[in-house]
Amino acid sequence: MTDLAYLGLAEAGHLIAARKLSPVELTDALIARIERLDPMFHAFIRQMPEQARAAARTAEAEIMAGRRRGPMHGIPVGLKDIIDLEGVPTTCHSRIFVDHSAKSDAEVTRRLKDGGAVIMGKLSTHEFAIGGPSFDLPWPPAVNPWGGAHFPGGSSSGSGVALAAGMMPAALGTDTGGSVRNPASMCGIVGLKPTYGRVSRRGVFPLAFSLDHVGPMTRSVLDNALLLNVLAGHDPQDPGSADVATLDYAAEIGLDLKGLVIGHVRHFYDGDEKAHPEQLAALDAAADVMRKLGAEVREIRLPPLQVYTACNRTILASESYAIHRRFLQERPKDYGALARQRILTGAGLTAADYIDALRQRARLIAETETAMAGLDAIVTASSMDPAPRIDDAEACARVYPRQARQPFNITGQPALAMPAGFSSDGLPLSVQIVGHNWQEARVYRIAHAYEHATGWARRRPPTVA
Amino acid sequence: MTDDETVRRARDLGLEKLARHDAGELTRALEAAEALAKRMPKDIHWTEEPAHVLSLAARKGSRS
Repeated sequence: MTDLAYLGLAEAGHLIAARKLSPVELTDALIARIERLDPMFHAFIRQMPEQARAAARTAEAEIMAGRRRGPMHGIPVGLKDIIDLEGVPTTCHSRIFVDHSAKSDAEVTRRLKDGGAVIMGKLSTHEFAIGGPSFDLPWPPAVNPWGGAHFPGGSSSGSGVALAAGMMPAALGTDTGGSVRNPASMCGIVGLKPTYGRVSRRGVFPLAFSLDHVGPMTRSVLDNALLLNVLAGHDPQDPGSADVATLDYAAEIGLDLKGLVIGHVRHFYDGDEKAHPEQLAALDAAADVMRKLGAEVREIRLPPLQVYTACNRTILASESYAIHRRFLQERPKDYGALARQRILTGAGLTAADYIDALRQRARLIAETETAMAGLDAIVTASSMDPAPRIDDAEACARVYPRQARQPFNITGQPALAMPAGFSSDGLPLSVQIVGHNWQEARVYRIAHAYEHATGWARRRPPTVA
Repeated sequence: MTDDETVRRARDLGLEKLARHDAGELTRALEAAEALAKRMPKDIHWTEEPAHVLSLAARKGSRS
């Protein structure tokens, strides 16, 4: 019997298209699993079983009538709870927005609905996508199914947890300093931050306008590309949206790596930072796998990781404080302590600090492009460590400076995090693959070849078997 | 940062409610900002423009 809990988006889509699987059967099975597991893992802010069943019935009727809309038709998905779904509160996991009902769908929600997806509910996040893991909010933080009491990464925590626990095959996250790729790394799944401007952010509560991205999260590379196919496209009502051609992002999946040149940025994790020994070994091994698959892998240098990090933090703190200033003035006690502290940093930065960070950003973009000339992609770390225990506040706080995701929020390039093995404690290790702007298909090609060669993505958390 | 300085900064920023709730939190945030600003490179030349400058699309029918 097919394991519906871990059925991927592509496979479920094929079975549904062939009328061998009913969207209602799939949705019911996942609702039952969510009801059993979510009290342990807290992936959801709001479950929506009745709405999901109704959408699944509609999908089934349309498909049976020969009106299949595409690969997302009848597929259960979840939305990080900073993404608007009409008529449902977008809480941002915060007391501030506990009754903040969305008046319309976010553009990405609309695209999912148009594709026939079944929306299962709203997923946990760090408060306003910045403050977490927090225990002083109206909802508990999500917990990683790997290990049972570990941090799942953030801020798209619920999305990572729901996928790892087999609650759904696809979810949306957002990424301003790594918030899709962090939970992907900690939960052993696949998360892509697309090129800045590739996916609309309209209807998504902002953290920092010039760094925010919406990204697909799945358990496999192919599923991720199929989800991006639905999400991508120009939105004239999002000022950051780019009017560029949309592509079939799965077009290069299945091609080998012969003829590709990949830059290996070792100094991010064995120099600028020193990764955990098992994470470091997994990253070096990942580069070797890509070499054995036919790519030319050569070590390259980018600007120091800390320069990108300081630039990202300055822009993020400045823009987020501008967004939250009024709430912080009027309702400071309604924030959790972590979000309040992190956003407040922006209060102490000057306009000149912000402008200098934007100028530094232009320089970093140019230097990164120069270093990547002649390369198809780069491979480097995402996280420096496996997930810490969620009750270890100091270790969780260290996750944020010890990572190599922020450089690509600064440059805007597509960046994908995926499993690269497991620690001796059985926790996921990860690798990050980064492409040139607008070249998500090339990133997926490399990621898929690596995934196929290693098989890490096929492991499941023993706690939810 | 002294307590008096924190109170003054809170007033300047309109964050008196926050300061009454936890003045230490504001002090820590302002000190973190100072440390962050110090970590930014100081060698940016005046000719280097920000990553995002105003970019106006040409209106249809306008003379170029």
